[in-house]
Amino acid sequence: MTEAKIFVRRYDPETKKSWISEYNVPVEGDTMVLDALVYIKNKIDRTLTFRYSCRMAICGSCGMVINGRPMLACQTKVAEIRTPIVVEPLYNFDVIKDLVVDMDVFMHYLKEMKPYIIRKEEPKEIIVKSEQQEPIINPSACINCMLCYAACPVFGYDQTFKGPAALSLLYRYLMDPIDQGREERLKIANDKDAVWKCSFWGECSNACPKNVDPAFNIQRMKLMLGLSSLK
Amino acid sequence: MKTRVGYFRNARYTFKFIRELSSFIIALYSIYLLTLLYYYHMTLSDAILAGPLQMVLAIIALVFALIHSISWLYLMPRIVKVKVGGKELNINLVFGLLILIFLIITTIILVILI
Amino acid sequence: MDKIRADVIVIGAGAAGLRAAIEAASMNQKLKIALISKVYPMRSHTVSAEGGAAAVIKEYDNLESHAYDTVKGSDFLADQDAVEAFVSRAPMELKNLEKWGLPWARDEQGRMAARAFGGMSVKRTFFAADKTGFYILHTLFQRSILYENIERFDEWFVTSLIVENNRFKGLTAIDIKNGTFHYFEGKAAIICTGGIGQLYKTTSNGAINTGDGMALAYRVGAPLKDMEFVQFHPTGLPGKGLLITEAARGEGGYLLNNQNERFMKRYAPEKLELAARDVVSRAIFNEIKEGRGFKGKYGDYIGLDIRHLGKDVIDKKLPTVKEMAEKYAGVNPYNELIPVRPTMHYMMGGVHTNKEAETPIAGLYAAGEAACVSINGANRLGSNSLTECLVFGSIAGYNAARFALEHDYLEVSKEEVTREENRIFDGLIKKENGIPPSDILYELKDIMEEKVGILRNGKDLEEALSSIMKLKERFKQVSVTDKSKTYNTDFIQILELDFMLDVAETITYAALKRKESRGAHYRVDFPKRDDEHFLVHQLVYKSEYEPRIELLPVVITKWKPTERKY
Repeated sequence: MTEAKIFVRRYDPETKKSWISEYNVPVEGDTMVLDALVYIKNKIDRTLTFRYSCRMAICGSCGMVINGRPMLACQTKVAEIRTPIVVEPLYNFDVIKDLVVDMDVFMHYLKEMKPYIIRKEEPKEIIVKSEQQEPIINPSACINCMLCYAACPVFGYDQTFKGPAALSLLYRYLMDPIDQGREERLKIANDKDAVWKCSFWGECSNACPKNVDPAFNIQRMKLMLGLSSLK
Repeated sequence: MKTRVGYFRNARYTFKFIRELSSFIIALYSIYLLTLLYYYHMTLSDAILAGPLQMVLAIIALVFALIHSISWLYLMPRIVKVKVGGKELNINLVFGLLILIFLIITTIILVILI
Repeated sequence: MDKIRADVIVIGAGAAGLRAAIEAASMNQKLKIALISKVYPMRSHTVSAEGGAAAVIKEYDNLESHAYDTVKGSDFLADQDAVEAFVSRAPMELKNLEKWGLPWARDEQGRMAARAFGGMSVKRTFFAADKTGFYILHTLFQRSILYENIERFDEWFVTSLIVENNRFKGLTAIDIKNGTFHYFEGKAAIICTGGIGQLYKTTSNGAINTGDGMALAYRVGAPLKDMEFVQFHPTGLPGKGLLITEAARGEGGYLLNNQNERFMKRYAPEKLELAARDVVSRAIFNEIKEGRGFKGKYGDYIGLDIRHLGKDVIDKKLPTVKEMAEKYAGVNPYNELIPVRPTMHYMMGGVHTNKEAETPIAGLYAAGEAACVSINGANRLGSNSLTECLVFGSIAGYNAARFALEHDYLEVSKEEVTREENRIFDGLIKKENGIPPSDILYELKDIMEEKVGILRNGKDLEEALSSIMKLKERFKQVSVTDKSKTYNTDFIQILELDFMLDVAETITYAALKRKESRGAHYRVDFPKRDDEHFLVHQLVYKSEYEPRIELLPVVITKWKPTERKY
């Protein structure tokens, strides 16, 4: 059992003040940053505010910036990163309070992507081979944790950009073997705030905790749009 | 409150920014070079191409061209996964192969020119 | 104080809640559906379900077999008419999700592929890698965006239901983002708030599983059923409680003790590792107790062996298992054993409903883990719960929508709202210098883990009950440290703790009264099943001093109770 020092960037929306709090937390080899934050909340400072739930990197609640990198707190081991640890709210989002950010902007963009199967008629029986499913396995693994938005400098400068996760989901439905909304979806991809705003920094794919590759998916859509305009 | 990620967040972002910037510099240099060639065509005077300023500019353009092309080769396999027989190739291996091809083509061009 | 009106109010946006909202919204487009959740829908705990969802789809399978496996798994406490309704609707629900784009794993012919699961006599568990719950939740959530008549209230916390003359008419809620208090008027409501994992110290459940819906219903007079049956999953990571899915054993994994022996052959000679969960959990507990476990930091453990499955199967079918083993247990599953111990996993009990998902309160419905139909009886079979959420979610959605079309709004009076507002804001927020809620929470978790765990006895349960009563007394001194109105999680956690104490009391009380051992409820002092006295559901009602219990006979249609052997 050793002690780790953790600095947390705080924000109080009522006074609009931001400051840094310093905490000392007992840690062991398998203590995650999230465990440390929960310890602080329960034993040191009840006012520290953050979202979390599943503890196993699947619910996507605990995205935050740890030592300058967007990460999931529940799968980042204290012992494996530089101390003292600096924890900040996700970049590029409005902070609601402490480590909680406002992700309504994403929820809005997600809706614009029409993330559901579009078909003229209901299929009677679905026969899909594993190979046909292959292209959607990667983009459908997105847990909406928002790390990619916090890593994207394009979204940082221009928040009308739909962003990596939303566009990656657009690609997921575009590639779905039973979907029939290709025309509609390509139109969404061709929007002035969609794929063409991506300048291919690749930071989204770098930040993704689930190995989704939004950068690739977006470039593929650029290619599809390019080819479809030739026809 | 909002902290925005800029183009100079850390060394990696800054490097990528320089990479983006390099395409502009190469573009500007290409225009400059075309102008030079145009005047050379008009006057047929060697001095237009061979001055010290032209040499310095050519070297700067070469450096940026190298940064841009090598980093492109470095980034590409990270984004476009290369598969052989259903298995993904190691990205560093792909990068190495691309550099090798790059060197071979460069050598061939140099041999032809010289 | 704003009033919001909606025909159908769904509380909770996990698989059951989303399915219910979609069903109600698609039944009639004029109906306005309010979907209230204390987290964004994709954070709901359905996301953590790994193994799969069971249904009779394959040609080699039949409904009767699924129904019998479920009844046998439940140790004959499930209502057999409900189980039959459940299995017959299950295939349609899974195929529905396929049409909505869920990438189910495929077999060679391109149809949905099935895997083996504990207690199921044939392969009937359908899956998408080992992230089935994740795919179900996201498919449903993304589908729900299509329906314009669903209005979502993300990060809203329901504090109380309002019921008059046994008829639901509204509820009160807090918008967590800005701390404002609102009330809803609704014709019907559906409780889909999930489980109670946070009552226990070691649990596979997320931080949001605090039994809110059960307590909400209990407080307005709806009975909770079968609360003594708490499922412990055999294979959780020691200390953390995170789950290694049953699919690891379904795909062929072994359990080994420190003698390198597949000890399950002594406990369940036929089904071995794939016996019902309560059987495997007790077997592991017993091995550890008799000194055949491996020594570890968080107590002794048993080894889960998937080395022989090979890299390909692990990477393709069990990627989450690999990730969990590497990240959270620090072992490489290709060539090391994964350390496992039983962990609290699921609540068989919940708000009492019939097979139409109706609670005894008119206009109030419940579905998913928060409800108890009961199809799970004394022990749920793995992969029945995702299907349960879908089947009873859609039934609840349909019935609530029909109820809303046939009835009118009842007015919620100012006094009813003000009373609740005062309880919360004057009673809790304004109090100064009290004790922090975490002290009580940690104590509660310890009590539940030690005394209301896998092995129970009368003396422990009585002690637990009196300790919980004392905690309820002490809860009155809890105060809010964080006085801010915006996103006050300190405050929300206190409201959750208040709910948890009520639920803990019902669990302990029901466990004390059931003087037999059945399924997940194992009494050391009454180690035999007693069908003569206890082939009944216990309904727990709230009353002034201690809970009141009513008995409800189990519905038996085809299968007479026999001894359960695996």
